[in-house]
Amino acid sequence: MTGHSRSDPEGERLTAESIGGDETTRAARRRVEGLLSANLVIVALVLLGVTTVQLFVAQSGWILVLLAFTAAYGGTLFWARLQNRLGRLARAVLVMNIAVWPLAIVGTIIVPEALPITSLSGLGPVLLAVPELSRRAVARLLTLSVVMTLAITAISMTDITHLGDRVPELTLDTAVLLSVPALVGLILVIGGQNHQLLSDRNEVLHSSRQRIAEATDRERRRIERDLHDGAQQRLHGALVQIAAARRLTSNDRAGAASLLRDARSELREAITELHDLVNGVRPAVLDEFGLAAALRSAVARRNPPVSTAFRQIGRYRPDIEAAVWFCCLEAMVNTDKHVGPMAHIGLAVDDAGGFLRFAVTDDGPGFAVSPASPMTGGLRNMHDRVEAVGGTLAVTSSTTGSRIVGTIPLADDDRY
Amino acid sequence: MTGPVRVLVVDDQPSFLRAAARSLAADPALDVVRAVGSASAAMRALEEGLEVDIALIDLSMPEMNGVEAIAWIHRSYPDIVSVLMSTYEPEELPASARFLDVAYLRKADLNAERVVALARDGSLPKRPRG
Repeated sequence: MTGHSRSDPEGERLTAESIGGDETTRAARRRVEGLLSANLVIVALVLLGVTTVQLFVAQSGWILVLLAFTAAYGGTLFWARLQNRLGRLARAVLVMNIAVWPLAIVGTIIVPEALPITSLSGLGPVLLAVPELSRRAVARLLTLSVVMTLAITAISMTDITHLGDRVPELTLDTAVLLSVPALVGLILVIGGQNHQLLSDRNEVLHSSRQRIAEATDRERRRIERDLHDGAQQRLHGALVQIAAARRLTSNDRAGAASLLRDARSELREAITELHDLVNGVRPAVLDEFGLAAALRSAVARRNPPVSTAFRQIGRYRPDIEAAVWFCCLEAMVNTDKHVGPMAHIGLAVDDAGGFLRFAVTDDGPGFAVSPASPMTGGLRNMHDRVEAVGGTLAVTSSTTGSRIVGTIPLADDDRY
Repeated sequence: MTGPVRVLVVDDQPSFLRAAARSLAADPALDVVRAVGSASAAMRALEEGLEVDIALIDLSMPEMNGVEAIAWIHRSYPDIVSVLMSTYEPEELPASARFLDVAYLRKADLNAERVVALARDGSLPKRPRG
């Protein structure tokens, strides 16, 4: 472990804009935000309508129950919106899917005539989940939707409140006539958005794959060039000097010794260059001992020392380890390049809550970064590497420092 | 040809240039008159009147590569024996180098005896082997 001059390398000292994942993720968040806001408006209208019925049309304890459930549903939607704003898109969608059914059941019990509305109301959230949750989660939610729809259909066949008898038929018919087309329209819109969102993601993935292929090719050329210009020339030089020294040994021992000294020096340089080159591609220590050891080794000789914090780091799929290692090194190299070698760098990696997360911070003057500006160069490479293993990269920067955070979701078989 | 063979070495890789110059200079049959890191430096030296019997020229160099440099030497100084050098095997050479009418020497095979032989008989071998 290297220096510990900063106790909190991930300190929340930055006040900055953030690039939270790619454009399609932001688009997905925006649409969930939109749907949640629309739902909250509907909840407000329902609360208003039901309160009006309670006050002026037909008083009933059941209506009060409906009001309470609708208000609770509204509260849950607020919470889901907060989750979405915090970047927990999947959780927000899951909450919407689950929260809708208690209200649908209670609504159907109290007003069986509202079955067309309550049965359709659960379909929007489940469609919304299709591009956001795993296939297994979506399958479970679809099953839940089928079961709940059957349940509320069965419930609608019994009328224990007889509230419909007391509310004018026109009121209920109007509510159903207005709501059903609106809900069907909403479901169709979500279906269309799903198609657009998945197409966009497919395109982003295609571009990202292309960039990775190009970066790999560039990297291969760099290795080839480094080998040709570096170690290969030194080895040839050493060979030529050894051959010359061999011819000289009998009549010019001093000359031969001098040539051999030079040859030895070239061989040493060649070994160092080969070692550095191999380490730059994928260090053996990463394969043998894992991320924490490789990163410690990479920062061991830096002065001022890098503040490191590795928590619960185990072994992961090789491409995940390589992506994290590459990004951490790239971020540190960028800091050295743009801030200078005296910058204080913090490097933290932790494995918690099903996510492998890394954060590289510095105390430099920051750089221009905004959600609208496309990433370029090293940042783009890091983004692509993280995205290739299903993760996201967030960059924040202010006049007092910058922070690059990568988050990679881990499945069970990602851990070795 | 009397006296040591006057050699010009041209290579943009400092480590090999240094090693080649030192190794060849250790042989009394050779006189490494100049070791330079680019074709333009070699051309300048020749234009300034540097007398050379044989020029050992690296293939891969920025700005002007070995093939172009040799073509220029052939035109300007037809008496100088030009030898193309690189780390490639002869069959790996680009077409422009493979069909150049000059001797080819793998860097790994560079030694004083061979340079002397090439300088004394510029026809040995005229084409890259392979």
